[in-house]
Amino acid sequence: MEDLDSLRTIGSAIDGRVPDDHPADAWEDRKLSYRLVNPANRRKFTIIVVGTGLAGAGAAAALGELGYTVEVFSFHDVPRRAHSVAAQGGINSPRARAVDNDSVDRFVKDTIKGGDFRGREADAYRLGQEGIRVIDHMQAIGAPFAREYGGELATRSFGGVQVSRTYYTRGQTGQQLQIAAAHALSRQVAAGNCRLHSRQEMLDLIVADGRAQGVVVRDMVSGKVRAMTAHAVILATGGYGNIFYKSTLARMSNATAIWRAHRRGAYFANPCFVQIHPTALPLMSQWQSKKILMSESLRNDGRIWAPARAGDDRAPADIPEAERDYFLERRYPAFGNLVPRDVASRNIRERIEAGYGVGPLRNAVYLDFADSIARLGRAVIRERYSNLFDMYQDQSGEDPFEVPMRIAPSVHFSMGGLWSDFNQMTSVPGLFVGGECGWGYHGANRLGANSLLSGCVDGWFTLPYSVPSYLAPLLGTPLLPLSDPAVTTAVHDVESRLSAMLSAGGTRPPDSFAAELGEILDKHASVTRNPEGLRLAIAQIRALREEFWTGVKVVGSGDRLNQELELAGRVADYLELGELLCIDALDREESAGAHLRTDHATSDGEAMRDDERWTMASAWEAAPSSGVGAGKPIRHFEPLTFVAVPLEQRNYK
Amino acid sequence: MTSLTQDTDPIPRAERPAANPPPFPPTWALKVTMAVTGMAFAAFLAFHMAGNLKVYLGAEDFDHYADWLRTLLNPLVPGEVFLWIFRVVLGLSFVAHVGSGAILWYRARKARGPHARKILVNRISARTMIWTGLILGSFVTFHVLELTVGMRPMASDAFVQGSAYANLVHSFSRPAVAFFYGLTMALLAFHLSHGLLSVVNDLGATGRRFRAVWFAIAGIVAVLIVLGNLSIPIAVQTGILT
Amino acid sequence: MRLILEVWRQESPTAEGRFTVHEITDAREEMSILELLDRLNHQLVDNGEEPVAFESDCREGICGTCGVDVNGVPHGPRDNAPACFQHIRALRDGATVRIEPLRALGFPVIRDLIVDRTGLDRIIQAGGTVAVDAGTAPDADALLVTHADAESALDFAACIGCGACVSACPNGSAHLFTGAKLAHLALVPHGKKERGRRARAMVAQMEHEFGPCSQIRECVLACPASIPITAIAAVNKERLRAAFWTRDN
Repeated sequence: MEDLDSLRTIGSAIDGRVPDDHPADAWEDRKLSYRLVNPANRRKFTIIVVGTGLAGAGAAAALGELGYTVEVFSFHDVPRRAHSVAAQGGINSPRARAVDNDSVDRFVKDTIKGGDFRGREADAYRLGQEGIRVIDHMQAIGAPFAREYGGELATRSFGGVQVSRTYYTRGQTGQQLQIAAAHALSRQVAAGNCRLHSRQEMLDLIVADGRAQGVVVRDMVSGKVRAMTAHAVILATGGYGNIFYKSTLARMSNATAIWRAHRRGAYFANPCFVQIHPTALPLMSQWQSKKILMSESLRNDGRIWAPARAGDDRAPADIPEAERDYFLERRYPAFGNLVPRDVASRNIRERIEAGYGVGPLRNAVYLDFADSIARLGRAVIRERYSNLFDMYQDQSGEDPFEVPMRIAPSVHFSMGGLWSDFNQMTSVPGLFVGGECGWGYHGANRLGANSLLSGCVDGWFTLPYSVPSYLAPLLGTPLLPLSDPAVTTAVHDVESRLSAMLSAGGTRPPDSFAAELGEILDKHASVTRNPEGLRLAIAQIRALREEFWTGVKVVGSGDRLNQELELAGRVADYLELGELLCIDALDREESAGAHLRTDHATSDGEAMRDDERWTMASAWEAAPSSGVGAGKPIRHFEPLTFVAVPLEQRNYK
Repeated sequence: MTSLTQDTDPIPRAERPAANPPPFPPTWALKVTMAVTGMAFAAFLAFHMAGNLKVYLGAEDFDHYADWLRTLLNPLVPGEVFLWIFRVVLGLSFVAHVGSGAILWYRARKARGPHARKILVNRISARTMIWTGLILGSFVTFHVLELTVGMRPMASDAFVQGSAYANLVHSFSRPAVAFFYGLTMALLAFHLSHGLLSVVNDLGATGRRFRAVWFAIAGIVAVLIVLGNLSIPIAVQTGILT
Repeated sequence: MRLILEVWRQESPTAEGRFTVHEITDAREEMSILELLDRLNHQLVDNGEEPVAFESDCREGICGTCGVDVNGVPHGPRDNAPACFQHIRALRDGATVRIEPLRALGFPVIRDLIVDRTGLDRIIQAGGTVAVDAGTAPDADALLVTHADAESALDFAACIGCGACVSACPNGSAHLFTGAKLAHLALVPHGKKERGRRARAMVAQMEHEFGPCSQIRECVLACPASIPITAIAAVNKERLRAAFWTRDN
């Protein structure tokens, strides 16, 4: 314990501002209690939205439709490129049309249970309740969801659930939703309600009078650092999985916006909850620039297996049925290949590390479609997964119709993120979050197809209610002038960081720091964690961070497009967030969802929660720079209560 | 890296769509004009070729056909009035087709920017439309002067207004003229095939079956027109027609 | 594998561009074009030179951020694949590879291999949208869409907005992009309600910034999303329809 106390200070309980009634009624009641803004007054409020993924584009478009003045920032050239575009499998919605006994309550149960009781129950209810009209809306604005021959929406099932509630457009659901959302945003841009600022990267948050009042951005083309002020700021900047260097995330996805907001006072919830996706393509060479996701929906029709004998290097077709180990079906007969992601990843990694891996680098297991092809025929499988099969064949040179796919776990999604209350507002008043950069719904593990849903629900159907309620009392408050010391200080801080990196005069490019950090985290803080490893990781990250500020080499200058400088800034923030991630993992002395501590596990390696101590969300406040507890982040906590879904140990067996 | 204020140096905003209409006449309308006039020419060519084949029935039949053309729709429309309506329509189509083509060619050149695309895999006929078109245009002028107006030196020395058969045989007896005619027909094959295939896209036919049927008909029509026409100078040169 | 790279370097939109020549001695067959550029940039940074600026993001063929011209062909030698899926195995050992930005008047160079493709977005802004506000849509199950229409809409909606079609076109035309959007939205229930005004607005904006289509069909080969040629017919179909049917739908 002393050891932990040298790393962090324990703060106080914080309030998630969830209405007191049954969680199923919380959102309805809250909506009724929200203040409203008269349509004629809406234009007088300026709202900054950072990020144009499903949550960002949704929030910006919806607030623009309502008549607010919305300033939208994106580091891409156009809104459609945000990483929501890459989600493949589908979007959950408990519309419960079929007779497979689905319902909002069951959705909440699956989400809470899937998240291992570390998410907020009322949030999960909102997700389910608003999720119903998400499908209606996204369909209306252009997403061509798959249809049955009768003309109704088609659904499929996804990992971690036993009903079929996932709506999809082939293997490119994220793309279709993202394009629809980006187009809705474009409509508001054309109408003049939203002003789009592309190729602008947010590098700091402006907090004045205790309220978030603006952002500092760097123009990625001209290098100019400028500020913009507003009445409220919404961050929808996605997850921080790229901290692991090679993940399934897009190359530009990063943690800078949320980390800078954290440094300005926003609490960071559960940074150690990072999901490792079970079905990514294994690394095939050192120059492979990232890991590529193969949608989880493949597990509907594919069976995962490894050879029964370690080191078996026969071709898959030569391994007879009796010598194959369908280990997920063997260990979890009820859910089989559809166990939640954390369970699947852990088991696959266990097989690989135990020497049962396949492929040239022995770093994968098989995902086999032979049975489904025999049962359903090639045409059906092709229609369901054509683009995934094509992508696999393209990357591996093998045809999944003939040879089983090789898959391996990869970092994919961060359940942790900026802490927010039930209104999606962070601990900094006026700073809201939407989508993956927040926390809340997914607890310690996210169910497949719930992330597209959370992005849509936050953007389209939560923030447009909660942000106006925050704004209403501010009517008549002028925008913070750009001459305000809070603005000039923030701009100055950004400029000094940039010039510190440009003039560090070292020899190592930023990418090599990112790679080394990724290696540390992958070794000590991925699918399994232990205290010794985490302590070692913290020490190594600190040393690496120290080296960074003197040893980094950023070629080029700051006054124009400079991708090395962009990367250096992101890596600098990873080096801080990485340490917090490890401290949180060390601090949370239990196993929950994606966070598996080997010193808190059953004898057969299953996660063991400590509900007594840890039925709560950790919400980290940035370390004070001086005084008592200097240099130690403060861990506040939000106690979680479960009413509709009583606490129980997960069991997928 | 200087920090400036929102007023003097605002954060750039994404440009919005243009408020004014695009250059007139609109490109889509020019394409439709090309397609419609092009189809009119193709139809004319098909009938023209069918008529030309009468040359194989002998001078009397051919001259009779030529005379029929001049007095088409008599007595409903007197004299050569219909012929002139026909000529004016074809002439205007010609002007519209060439004019639209020229504007589109200019717009295309402009839009591709300073770095012309060099490596192209398909559609030699598409990229040579402007050149085959120009040659065809000059051929048509020559052809009219040669066999309709009878202006020398385009027309043969033996040209007599009204003796269509004799004029044709005399004209094609000149090897250079027969060769030029044959070459033009080959270019016509390119121009016509691309043109007829493009028509489905220019006029917005998206149905799979319609497109397949159209492609088949377009191909057959183009081949028949070219082969039918091509046979005549060959027949004259080889002495089958005298 | 050893490869000689000729890469377009251009400081700024107004600066003169030029090719610089680099040698990569340890290229590997499974590398993508983008990974080859990563490799080159590592080499340049190690030598203290500025890396080649190029764009990429998801590297899974779906975001459309990447796009370079490889040996005169957008994205690379293989048909219908984005740069992140173009592998070096298609090249000979010792070959010279010329990498330049996507070329078109509508795509001005920002720096090195990065071009400004927002012109395509302005076509979308002009009318590639559906006028339904959040929360107002009716039950999606109550609006029947045939299986075939949904699949067909998705064939067109698959466009990743990379701009390869424009760059592949000797005319710098954006017909394939615009047509894909028009065809997609004309097939979905709410999109149908503004077919006419959408066609007029999108085609007008397209004609502002991009060239005419001569049906050379290079775009269809370059398109990573395999958008069919009927997208081009769809541009004219929707626009002609709007010319005769002068209402909004």
